[in-house]
Amino acid sequence: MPFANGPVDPQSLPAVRAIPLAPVSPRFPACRSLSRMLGMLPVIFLAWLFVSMTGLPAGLRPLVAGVVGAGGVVFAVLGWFEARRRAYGLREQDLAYRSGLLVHRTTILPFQRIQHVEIASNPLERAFGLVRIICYTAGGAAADLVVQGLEREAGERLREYLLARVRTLPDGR
Amino acid sequence: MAADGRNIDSGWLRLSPIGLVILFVRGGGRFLRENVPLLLGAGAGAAFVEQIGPRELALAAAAGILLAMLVTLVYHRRFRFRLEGDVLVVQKGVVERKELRISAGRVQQIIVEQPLYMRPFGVVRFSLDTPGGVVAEVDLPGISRHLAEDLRVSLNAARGGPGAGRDGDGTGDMPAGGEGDVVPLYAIGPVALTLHGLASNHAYVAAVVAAPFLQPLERLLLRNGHGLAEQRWLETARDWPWLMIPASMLVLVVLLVLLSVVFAWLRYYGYRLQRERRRFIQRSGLLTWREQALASSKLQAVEWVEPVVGRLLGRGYLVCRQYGGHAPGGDDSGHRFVVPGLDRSGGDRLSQCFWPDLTSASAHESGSEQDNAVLLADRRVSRLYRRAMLVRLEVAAGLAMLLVLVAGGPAWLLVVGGVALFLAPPIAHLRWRALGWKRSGRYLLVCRGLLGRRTSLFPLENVQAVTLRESWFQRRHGLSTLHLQLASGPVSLPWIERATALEIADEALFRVESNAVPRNVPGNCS
Repeated sequence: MPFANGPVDPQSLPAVRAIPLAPVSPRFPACRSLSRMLGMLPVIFLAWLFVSMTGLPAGLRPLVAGVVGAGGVVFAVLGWFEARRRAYGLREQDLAYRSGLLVHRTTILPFQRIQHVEIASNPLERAFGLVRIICYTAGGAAADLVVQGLEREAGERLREYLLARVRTLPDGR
Repeated sequence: MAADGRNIDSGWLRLSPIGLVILFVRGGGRFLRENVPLLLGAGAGAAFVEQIGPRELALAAAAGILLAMLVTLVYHRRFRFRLEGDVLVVQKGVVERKELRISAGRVQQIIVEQPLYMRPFGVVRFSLDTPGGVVAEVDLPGISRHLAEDLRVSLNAARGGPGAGRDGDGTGDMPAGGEGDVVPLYAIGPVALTLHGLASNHAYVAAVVAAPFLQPLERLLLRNGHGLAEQRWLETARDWPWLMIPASMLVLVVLLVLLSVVFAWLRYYGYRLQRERRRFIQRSGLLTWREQALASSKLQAVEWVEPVVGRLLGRGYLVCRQYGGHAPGGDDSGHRFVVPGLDRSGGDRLSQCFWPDLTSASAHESGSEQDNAVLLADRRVSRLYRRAMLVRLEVAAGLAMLLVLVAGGPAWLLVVGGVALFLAPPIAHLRWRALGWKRSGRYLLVCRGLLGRRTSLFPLENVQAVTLRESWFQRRHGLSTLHLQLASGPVSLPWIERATALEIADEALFRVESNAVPRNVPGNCS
């Protein structure tokens, strides 16, 4: 191919802001909240250890319990709202995923960069009938995209679609 | 044809007989590195020796060495390799037999090394990396230098044949030529080499390496230092502590810097960089001679590094980043493709060799004399970044001080926290000042640092994934942080206008998805 370096008209580019996003499963917020509550268990254990080993005055113990409990509740509630914001979108050439509540993140992964696709679920996700899709790239773990909160059927459909798209693309990686 | 009569096309090949010794010594070294600290740590070794007795220990060691020799012999006998068309096949293993097949098109870097002890035997160590591997995928210790050269040329030729376009490097229109198409790009002189030693971070590495030996050295001196106590200069030092402490520090720093210069001379003596068709090849080394070949199509980003001292001396070095980046926490210094001892103009010139259309792109954008400064950012990020950084630093320092107060920690920790609070504003300012970026056609340049500088330059079509990140504070001010994932590692462009971030993201995705721009075509930099 002869070398060329012509200008690109920015107006003609497909815009990231125009990607239509679909929310993940409505079961995901509950799963996420529960997951966060379970994630608080080590913190509760450490707080109990701190109270019992430092000989904290009896008057302060309810305060510590209250702070840890309130923290856990806030953490779980934030997880609920954060999960409700999660959404993903497909275009002809890429996959987009939005996450974050206070800090919004939108990641776009071109199909051309996908090395392989994996479907995974932990026991809690399985209890809610959810899966997550992991798209591996050549950029290592930091560049891999994990789409959480998909219902099993939707997840499997998405995986098949991604694999089909990856197969049909020229090997330009 | 290799000097020993063996040719890469003549069926299965084996390591040379001296390779057996090299394998044994390397295996022994690896065993010692991995196990001796475990055995000797915390007096466990002494207790172990006392428990079983020296004779039994010697017998066990002899049996272990014999077993290791036997295993090495079997490994050496079973190790064989051959080139089948454009595929390098390696068979190895003692208990578990492995066959490794690597297509020439997948090879991103070839390294040929000849340490001093291999020179009398005329053998080298040949290793190659592929995308995705953080360590050398194939390692052939102890093959003849001619065979290694034959293998390298054959792999290059296999890439240049009908299968050369498989990695999409778009170099099909390269002028035809054999391995004789050599374009010298850069050679280092003694002054540049010394300045590189002064400017590079080898001194810090030497300090880190030397740190564990300081305490045993101190103990040794205290135990056997009776004669030292009578030295007159030591008595003088005791009388003038405020003079001697800075003087000792100065001597230590000078020693480390000298060590750094020596290391630079050992590693980069006689450095030459040249282009041979689609590969960049560098050769250097005083005791260990080394040749590294980097496929231009695998080059992901070029990083211009200016350490603190380097900025004062006007020196830096280029690091060519490939697929896989560097092993987290691992020592990949031997596999990095580094071009040492450059001044800024040299860095600019070589960057244009790696990315040949960089010059015209810059000229098209600005049309001024500034075009030559390829590795210089021309835009800053928002000033709010400085404020956010200051808040983060102050909050972190304040929380740490609060924790120390609550836990009743020592007073000096509070002093450290106070100093951190005091230093936070200048640090935030320096971080902001160091952050800069530039668009040059299809290239993006991002510069960051505190006192030193690291400038990443890469084509947008090398991006693997794009992430836009916005905190509530950034959203209020219409700002975004753009994370661009490359195959060599992430690059962040923080706190830029949202519209600009979206524009860069759109263009990066467009270039990746449309395959609009051909991959890197090495330029003529002669």
